Amino acid sequence: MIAMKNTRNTMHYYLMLLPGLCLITLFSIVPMIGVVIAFQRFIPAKGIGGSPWVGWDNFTYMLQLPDSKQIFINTLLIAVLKIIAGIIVPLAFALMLHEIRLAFFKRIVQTVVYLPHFLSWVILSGVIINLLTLDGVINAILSWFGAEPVMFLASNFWFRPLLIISDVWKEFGFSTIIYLAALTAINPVQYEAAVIDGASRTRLLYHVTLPGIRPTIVLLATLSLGNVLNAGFEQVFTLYNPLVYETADIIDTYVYRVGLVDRQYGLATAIGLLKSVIGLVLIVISYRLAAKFANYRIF
Amino acid sequence: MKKPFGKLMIVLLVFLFVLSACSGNSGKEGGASSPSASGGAESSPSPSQEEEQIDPYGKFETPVSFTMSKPDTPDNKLPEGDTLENNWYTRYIEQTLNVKITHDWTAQGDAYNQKFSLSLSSGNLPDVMFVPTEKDLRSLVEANLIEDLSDVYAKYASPLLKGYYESTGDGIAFKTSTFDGKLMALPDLNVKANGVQLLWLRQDWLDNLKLAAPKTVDELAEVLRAFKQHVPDSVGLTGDANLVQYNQLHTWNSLFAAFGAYPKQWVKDGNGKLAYGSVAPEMKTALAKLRELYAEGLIDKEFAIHKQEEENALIAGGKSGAMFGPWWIPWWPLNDTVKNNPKAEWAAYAFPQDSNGVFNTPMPPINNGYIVVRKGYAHPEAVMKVLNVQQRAVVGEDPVYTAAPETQKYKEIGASWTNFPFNLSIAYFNQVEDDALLAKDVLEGNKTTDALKTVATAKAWYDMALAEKNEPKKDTNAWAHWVVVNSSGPAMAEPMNLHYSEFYGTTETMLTKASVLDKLESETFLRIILGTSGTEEFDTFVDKWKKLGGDEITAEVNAAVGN
Repeated sequence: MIAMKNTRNTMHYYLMLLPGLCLITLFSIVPMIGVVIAFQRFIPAKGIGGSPWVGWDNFTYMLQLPDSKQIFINTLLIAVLKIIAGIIVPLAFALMLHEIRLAFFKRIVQTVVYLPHFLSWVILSGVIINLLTLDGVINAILSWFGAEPVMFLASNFWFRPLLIISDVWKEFGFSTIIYLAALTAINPVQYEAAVIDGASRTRLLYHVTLPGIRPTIVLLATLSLGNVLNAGFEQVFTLYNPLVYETADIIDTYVYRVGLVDRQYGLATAIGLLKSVIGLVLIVISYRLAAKFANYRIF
Repeated sequence: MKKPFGKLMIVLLVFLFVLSACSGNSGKEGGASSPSASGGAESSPSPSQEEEQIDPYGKFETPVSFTMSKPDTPDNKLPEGDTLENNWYTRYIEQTLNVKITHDWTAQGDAYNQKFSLSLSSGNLPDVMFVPTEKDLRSLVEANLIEDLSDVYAKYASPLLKGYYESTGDGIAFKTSTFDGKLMALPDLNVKANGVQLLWLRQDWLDNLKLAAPKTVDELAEVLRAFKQHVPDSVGLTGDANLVQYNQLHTWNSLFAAFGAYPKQWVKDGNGKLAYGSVAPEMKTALAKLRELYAEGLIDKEFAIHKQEEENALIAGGKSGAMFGPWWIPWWPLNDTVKNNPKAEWAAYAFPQDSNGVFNTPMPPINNGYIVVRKGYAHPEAVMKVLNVQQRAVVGEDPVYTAAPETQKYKEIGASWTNFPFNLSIAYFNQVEDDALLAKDVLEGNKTTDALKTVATAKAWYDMALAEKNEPKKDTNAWAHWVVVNSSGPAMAEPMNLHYSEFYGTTETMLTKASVLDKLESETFLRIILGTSGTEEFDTFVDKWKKLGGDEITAEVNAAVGN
């Protein structure tokens, strides 16, 4: 009886879920049938049913490609550095913002840093390219200090840092808001008690603030593990050029060139599938870790 | 993102010109054919006199029919009840010639190509086929599955159609469809203007400096040097990270060709074998020279990083006075230069020349599709006649067709010409430059406006150019016409060597290795030009290229052309 009643009471929730489920089934689950292309020499006119099966050929070929190692390293390096920077910067920023008492100023800063999150990489890349050209702002500033102008976007030394800095700049406002929300959840009584006990500001930070938002930090950190192989296609694609393939070519851009430009559908699907499998493993691990350290559970 | 909207507009615009212009130019060739067409449509030649007087548009007395495979028209706009197989165009062919065409099968785009290759292996061929690639044509010829059309073409092709095919000179139109001297297929035909890449210079800067247009690469370097002094914040020649591409802006096809280097094309080596142009020794010389120019600051320092929009911005802002590009760029992006600075002038030249004083320019494939006839089909002449009637109708030389109310109706709803039986777009090879030259002649008073009566495009160009002459720089569209008529059009009519690749197809190994090899190639070339690698890096590149699959590809390409 209780179960029945529960179902009746929660029916409208399920109904609200329905459109979303339909969309996911239609656009995320059904297309998964396409992964079999990874084991085929796919010919569009013959379709999945008619194309010849080649077993693991696409995968062995992928591992033999001279570029594979480089691309894998690039992807991992760029993504991991982005994750680390993507945790530290917003955290530090949120803590600083938290210390500000002027609510008006706080709000404005919060909104302004959040803005780039809404712009697409196509636009931001245009901005970045213009900032970094030889007669752009950055090089003009460098020249005040007598430095030679640098072609940042053509330099294998600068390209990766640039990707990471620009990515953090675009996205840190979003995480900052989550941290700020977590900070407001800390009970002010704890601060009062600590102050009465004679704690300094740094001590407050270490003994009240940080422990208070620890679950949020752990949660965001572990959940971002699932992104270890997502180095950001749009960003790299709109900024890179053949001169920096060596440091900037990532799995996604490579799949784009192989699959859509050279039309090797089988190989491109194989690379994408491998990436997804590794991604799945990482997501499972991160979920377990999140459950263990932050008591985060979906199921 | 390489193809912004403006670019698309230009391409459409150009296409429109070419189509509308067809009517005009054909007048030069087609005069003789028209009378016979209107008068002789009913009469069929008596058998005894057949040799002497064949009417290329003559009606068959007994119905003739053939089956065919035909590419589908995407998003086809036809009146209710009409189909790709049965529409006004096909009905007009049927009523004119008594030829009935049925479709064995149709498919769209890539799917057609795939299905076509499949049908080859099944051996079950329709009477007439549209062949999408040179490779497929070659395999049909090798398998001895198709009819030799040499005699049929000689006897039955209309003078109008022959005029189009002969407009290339030197039999270039039939280069890919002729095997051992036999014409095995009827090809389509692209305009020359699709490929020729010209050198564009700021004429006002040249005039200020009292310099002549640079004939050679060394003279070009001098001009760039002078430009740099003339406008200190200018960046020199523009470029694109894709060093060579057909019908594109900022690429350097003709610049490489001035060194006898044809990157991305297949060229004959000393022994008659085909070799890849990017690994030829001439390429090293060309790269070394470009490296020199780059180091001196005569080429945009950031050409490899900039996207096309940024290079266009340099052109528009007067930061660059030299670029390579096709004939149509006065409409975009050169018009922006004039918008920003009414004193600006651009001019096009068929330069730089190679050491023999010849301007070389690499060309895209001249044919993109063919019509072939299955071996053993009884009436190949019917196919020829259908093409005669189709071409005459398409280019507006058929008064009966043009006057028909259905034609008007189809025009109104925007029905595609591809609803005609054969998907062969046969353009007059010298269309653009001839129109420009004619408009120029009238403009300069060498001819009267009467000459423009039958040539719609030239007339339109003349009108616009005249508007520019009367009120200079008032309207950038008029200005663009003026530049095309006076500069880029005539430049394309200059004597030049149109360099065709010996092979445009794709081989098995290319499919799997091309991405690796292309990456290696573009990385190496850019590094050499930018000076991050030494010129000797080229030799390492050639070795690597060969090892990573280049040798295999070369062997396959040679096998494909029967070497």
